[in-house]
Amino acid sequence: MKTTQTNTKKQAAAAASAAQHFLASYGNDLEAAVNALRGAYTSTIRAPRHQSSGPVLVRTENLSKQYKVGKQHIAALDNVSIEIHEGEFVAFTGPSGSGKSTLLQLIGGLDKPSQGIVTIGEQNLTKLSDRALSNFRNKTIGFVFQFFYLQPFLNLRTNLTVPAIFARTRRKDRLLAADQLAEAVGLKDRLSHLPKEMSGGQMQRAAIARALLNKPKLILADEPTGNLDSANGDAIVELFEKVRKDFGTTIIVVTHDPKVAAHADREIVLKDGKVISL
Amino acid sequence: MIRVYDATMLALTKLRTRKVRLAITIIVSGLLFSGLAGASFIIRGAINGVTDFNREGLGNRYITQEYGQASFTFTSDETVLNRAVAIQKDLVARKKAAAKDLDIPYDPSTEMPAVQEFDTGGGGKARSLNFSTPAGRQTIAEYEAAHPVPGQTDLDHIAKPYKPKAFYVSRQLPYDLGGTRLQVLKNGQESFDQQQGGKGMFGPTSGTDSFVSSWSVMSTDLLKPFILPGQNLAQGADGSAPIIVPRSAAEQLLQLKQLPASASAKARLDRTKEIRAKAPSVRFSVCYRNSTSASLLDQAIATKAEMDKNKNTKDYQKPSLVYGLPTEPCGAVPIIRDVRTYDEKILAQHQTQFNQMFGEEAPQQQTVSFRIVGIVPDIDSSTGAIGVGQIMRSLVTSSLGSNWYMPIDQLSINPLFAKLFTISVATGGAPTYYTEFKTAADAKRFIEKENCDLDYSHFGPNQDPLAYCLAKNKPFTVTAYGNNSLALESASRTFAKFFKLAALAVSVIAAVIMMGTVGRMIADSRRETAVFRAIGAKKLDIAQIYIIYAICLSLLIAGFALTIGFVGASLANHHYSSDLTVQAINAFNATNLNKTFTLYAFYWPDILLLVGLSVTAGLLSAAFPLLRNLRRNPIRDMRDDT
Repeated sequence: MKTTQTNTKKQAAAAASAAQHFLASYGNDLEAAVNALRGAYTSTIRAPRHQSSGPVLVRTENLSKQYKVGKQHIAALDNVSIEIHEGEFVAFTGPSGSGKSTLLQLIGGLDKPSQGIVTIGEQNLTKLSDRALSNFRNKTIGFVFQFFYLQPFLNLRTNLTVPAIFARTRRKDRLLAADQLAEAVGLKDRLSHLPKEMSGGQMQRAAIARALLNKPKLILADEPTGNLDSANGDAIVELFEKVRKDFGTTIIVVTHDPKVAAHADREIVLKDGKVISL
Repeated sequence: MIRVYDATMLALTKLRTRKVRLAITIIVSGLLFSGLAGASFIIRGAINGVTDFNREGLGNRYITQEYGQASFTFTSDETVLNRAVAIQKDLVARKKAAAKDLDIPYDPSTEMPAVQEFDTGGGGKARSLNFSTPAGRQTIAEYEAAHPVPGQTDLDHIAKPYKPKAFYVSRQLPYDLGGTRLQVLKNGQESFDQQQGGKGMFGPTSGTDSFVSSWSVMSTDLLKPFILPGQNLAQGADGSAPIIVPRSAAEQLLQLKQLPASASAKARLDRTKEIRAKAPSVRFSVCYRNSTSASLLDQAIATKAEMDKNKNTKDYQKPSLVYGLPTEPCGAVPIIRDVRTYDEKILAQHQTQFNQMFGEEAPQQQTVSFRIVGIVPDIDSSTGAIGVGQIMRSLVTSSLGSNWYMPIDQLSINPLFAKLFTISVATGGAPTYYTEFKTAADAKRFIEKENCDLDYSHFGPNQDPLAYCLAKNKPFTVTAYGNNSLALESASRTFAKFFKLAALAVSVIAAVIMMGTVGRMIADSRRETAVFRAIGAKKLDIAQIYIIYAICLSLLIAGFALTIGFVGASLANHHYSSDLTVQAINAFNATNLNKTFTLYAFYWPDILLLVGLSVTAGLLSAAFPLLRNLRRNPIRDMRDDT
């Protein structure tokens, strides 16, 4: 009996310790931790965890970013060093203002770090000129946004070709690629439609297809399901899985959505500009 | 840089946003430019029209007109006046002696003074020469002999460096004919209305009565382009002298009623055709009476009036010698009653002898026959509506002017003409010279370098123009003549200058207006720019899209402006073309009566300038917002939007 009580106490202490540890992994952010738990238990999608052993594609070293607001300097990122391998599906999570979007933008070369370096493959982005960086982004990185950002007056086919326009790809080649990608994302029958004639889920699939047009090694998605309902959100996660599988593309997603995070190979949790869990 | 096709496709999507603002911008800026476009179409059309019609006259010939400034201050010069007084004194002395010899009465106080004295106001007195007295005439003749006005020899000298091709000359009938009377016989009849036919500086400017005030002779070569088909400038077999007459005179001689000012263009064109067809068949006569004959006629008219007045007066005594009106046109003045005594007749005979001793001619009258060989428009032509006429006159001047022109060789054929045209240089008989050059540049240079310009900021009010010009070693006042190409070239240059300045001003205003729209559009597109930058667009690619957008907007504005301008010019053409055609046919004596004056033309340099400036305005309007936009952080723009 005593042994049983002792075991119960030990189990309770272990559970409390695990809970504390779990909470700590979310930076003691109860809301984030609860969301993560809810996602883990309510998700209907269980993608097999993929353990990448490929070479490192994305590396940040001591990456910091400070913004000046009035006379104050606010650290959006503080000494972040991470590595992401080729073919990995990584989710950046953390509370609002934790620096996950900033990290994504620095990796995407959309912003310059205050300190540290970002390397994609062999290329140190911080050393590139604006022009070279644009070229690099165009060829190596695909972006997916929460609000899709498709061109309202261009039909889907032309919308998909926009990255290829900036790559000066021949019209015939880029239209062929657009058709193939539309088929891959299940939008073949919408090619002549304008964005306003499509649903939110269709628009996001279109945005993913657009991001893939120049066959990038890396897709950076900022809250890709943030503007979608649950079913469409699930479809997008499935699509990312498919993309990773079919094209071997590395995917980094910034998300608040536990379901998305749960399907990532790895979740990198940030809080107050610091990585608290890799 | 991305492909132009792709950049254009992306740029065109922007024209589909903010349509109301876009439409307002296109309309307002377009209307500004349309004013310029319309002005260009119309003015260039008018210049083209005039150039086209000008080929009918002295087209493609570069002629300048030269005339020596008249000297007028000598008429109040003390030395000259004293000389006139001396001549008068001598004349009176000689007349006194002659009267004594002939035993006739002579009262020197009846002589008009050679020098008149008049009040200058404020108690002052001044003297001036009386042109119409024999002493005054002699004084002028002496002065002119001593101070010759610049002539052909001077012109030869100054024109030589400019390689002149030919020289021509014209003379106008002096305005003081010393009592001589000339009258166009209407329907072959002489008018005894004393108001008619008088010579004056400001005589009638139209109709047959303008003959005396504007009868001219001119070098044959300058008249040739203006003669009617089938006509020539030679002396007629019937002894008629060829003459080019003002249109209104031809109408009168053909006994056609003048058309009202409101007559349609077709009616006026038909009238022109009629005049041209019938005019060559017209012969008309001018009655010449020397001063003695004119004086006798005046006496006959006055006597008749007096006798008519006293017809019922019982004790009215008719004069012993009565002259009657001529029984045939331009006939001698007959004596219709002569009840003078023998002594009276002897006295009259002596008086005539006395008068002839002092320059009076025997009465002489003569009919001179003319035939019409050409038509020129009247100065105040009523052939066009007022507005059109004014427009036309502001653009063109008829090559010849509106005188009655006779070939100058008539002066050597008919002694009467020679006598009339050389009465006195000082009273307007001085020749006008013309120089023809091989190129417009030579003519232009000649005018610029050799014209004596009476610039009133330097030319004093009491200064003698001739002396002023001679002092500057520029004896002639030189202007472009006959060939409107010099004037047209100048008009074209002036318009081009105006057009450029106005276009520049309009462009600046349009740029400001467009900046509102382009700036707003670029600001609206920040998020899109940020997305494009994220997916690999370079700053230059973004700039290219907006530049093409601005160019497209500018081209729409230019297209709108050109359309509106063309519509305006077409309306103007629709309204005025037929009037201008008639005006031009008359002004230039066009042989092709089917020619039309089109009031619009596409002058490509103007159109390209307009389009270019519109595009420049568009680019300027885009430059500042674009530079600002490209400096922005794309992340911030994406974030601002979400």
